[in-house]
Amino acid sequence: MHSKNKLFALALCALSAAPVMADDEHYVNFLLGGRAMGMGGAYTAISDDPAGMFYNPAGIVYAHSPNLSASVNAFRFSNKTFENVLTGGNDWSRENSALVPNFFGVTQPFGNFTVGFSYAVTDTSEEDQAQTFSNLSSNIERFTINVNETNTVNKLGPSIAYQASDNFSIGMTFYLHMRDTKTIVNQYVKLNESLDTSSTGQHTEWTNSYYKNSEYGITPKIGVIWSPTDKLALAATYSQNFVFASTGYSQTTCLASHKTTSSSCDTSKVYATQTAGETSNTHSEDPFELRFGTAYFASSQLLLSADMTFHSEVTGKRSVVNVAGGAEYYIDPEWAVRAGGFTNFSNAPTPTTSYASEQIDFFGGSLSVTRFSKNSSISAGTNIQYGTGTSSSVAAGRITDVSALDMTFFLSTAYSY
Amino acid sequence: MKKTLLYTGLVTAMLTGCTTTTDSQIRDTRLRSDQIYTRSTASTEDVEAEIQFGRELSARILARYKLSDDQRLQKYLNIVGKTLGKNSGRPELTYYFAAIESDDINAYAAPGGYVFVTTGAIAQMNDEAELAGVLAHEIAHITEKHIVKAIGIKGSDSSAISGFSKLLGASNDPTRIAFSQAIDKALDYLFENGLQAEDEYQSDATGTLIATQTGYDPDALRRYLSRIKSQRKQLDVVNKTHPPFNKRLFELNQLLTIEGLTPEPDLRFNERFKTTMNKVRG
Repeated sequence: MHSKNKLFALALCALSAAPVMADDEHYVNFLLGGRAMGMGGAYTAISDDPAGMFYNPAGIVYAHSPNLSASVNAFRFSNKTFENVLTGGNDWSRENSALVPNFFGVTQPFGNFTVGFSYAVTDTSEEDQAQTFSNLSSNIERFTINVNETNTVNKLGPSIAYQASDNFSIGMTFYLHMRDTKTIVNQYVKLNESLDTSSTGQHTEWTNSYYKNSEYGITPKIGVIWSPTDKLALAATYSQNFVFASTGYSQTTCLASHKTTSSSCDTSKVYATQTAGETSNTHSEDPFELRFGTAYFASSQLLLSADMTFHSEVTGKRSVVNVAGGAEYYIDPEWAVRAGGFTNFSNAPTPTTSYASEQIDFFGGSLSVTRFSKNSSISAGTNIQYGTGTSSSVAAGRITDVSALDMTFFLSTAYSY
Repeated sequence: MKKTLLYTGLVTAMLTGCTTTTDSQIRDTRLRSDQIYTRSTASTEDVEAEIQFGRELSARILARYKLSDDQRLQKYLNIVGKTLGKNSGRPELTYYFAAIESDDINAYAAPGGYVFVTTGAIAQMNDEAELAGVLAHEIAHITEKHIVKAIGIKGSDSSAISGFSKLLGASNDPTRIAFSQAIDKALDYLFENGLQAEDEYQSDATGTLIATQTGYDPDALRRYLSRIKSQRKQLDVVNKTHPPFNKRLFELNQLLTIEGLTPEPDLRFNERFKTTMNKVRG
């Protein structure tokens, strides 16, 4: 019996680590705003449309039309592969595809002031895994794992910007912050019946764990834009997320055909157990964000921009610097193309065999095309980012290589009147 | 402390000192190709709305002033004005010019191509170039759509006072009321409060360039304004709806200097003007 427990433990070690919060380790999971998405998110010094309320609220004073609305919807596909997680060189693969809202905003000028309201989905990720492995080794006949992790961050709130002088503006956005995460894991292990020498039929184990958390807070942003010349704009934005309350719930259920003490399922005394409990204020600490941007308005056809974003170090998260660059070129007054590049580095500590972590550094590119008509425009484009790294989160005690691909296809519309 | 002072100084410099770049320059540079194109073009509905609005406004102007019954004068104004109109950059419009009976020195432009000049203003002119300068100033108000923009006349959206192109056939009261209010607002611009000072400076500049391009003395409008400035009794009338003469003349002098335009006595056509005026007055 003791050897059987060891085999279960071996097979289940992949899930012995705590549930991974669906991508809490990156800050550029989901670019926002149709024009900004095409330019790799390098938008801090441009920000002259409703998306500016997210990147730099000071920029909305330069919105070209008295009223303007913009909405973006995106189809997101992601794939993550953990290499050699299980014995025999078996990889784990998690995928997701979903149609998600991205951004909506309106602005309205009043003299030197411009006000606006926006709704932004700053992060939305989901990982699905449904895999079954047969004959992993001579001892394990079947291992099935189903994982579903979701993470959605919604922000909505008003903005106000003030043109302090001819070439200087300042703005503020006051977002309400809501974040929902959920992780569901199901796993089933069946040992090779030949090991069941006692013929008791005690050779299976099933575990289900459920974890969810909701947090609420505010995210104030303050930004400035200074134009030393008419062609050049320099900008900065400071923001920080303050979570006031969070509630969570976790539940683990185990059912085994034997008594076991595997780390994920303690049925040492009975064959089935269930633990459940509510939690509160379990949210992780959030860093402050400092964005610097520059934009060069070379002509009415060509615009170049660059951003650098710094996120501070907090408990469990390293400081991160990301960069982005973008360009916009008008083929003619009715058609424009945009392209950009960006980094999306991980804030996670380096994974070790004794510390569960996942560190993937992404590099991304963007491309979009826009068709303009008199008072409206429609854009279609894509953001693609690919990263590699290491993880000790899925196979406790071991470090595995990880690669991930994330593709977002978006459609945005803007209307001014 | 030093850092605080540095930051304070930086912010102060941004707010006050470093204003060599003007807001309009920044906004113009930020304009993308599609926005420039949209601003420079008007849909058929917009042009129709502008013309219909201008026609209605002209009727209200003629209800206030008597149209001069001198056909020679009207014909002369239209020959000079329509020639200027060919260089206005708005080929979609047909311009109409009319002299109205008034001792006041003034001229009015209604959207869509309708220009009125008082007989009092004409009486102060010395040559055809000065007449062209005044008419070109009014044409510039039309080409730059000063009233159109101030009121928000469009033909193709759903805002409260737009959709004028469909108005004449419309029977709903709210639309008619909105239209009537827009006309009243335009009359207020013309006869009471005037347009923005920037609009007048722009019309002086654009008008001068249109007249010069047509072949008239570039200095004509400036000469004319200088002359009527000295007539104190007219100051109140013109100043009511226009910025101060000194400022207008300063702006015009700057334009002439920057553009390298100098007085051209041979392009004043004073003999032709006097001959026509003698026939009119005779």
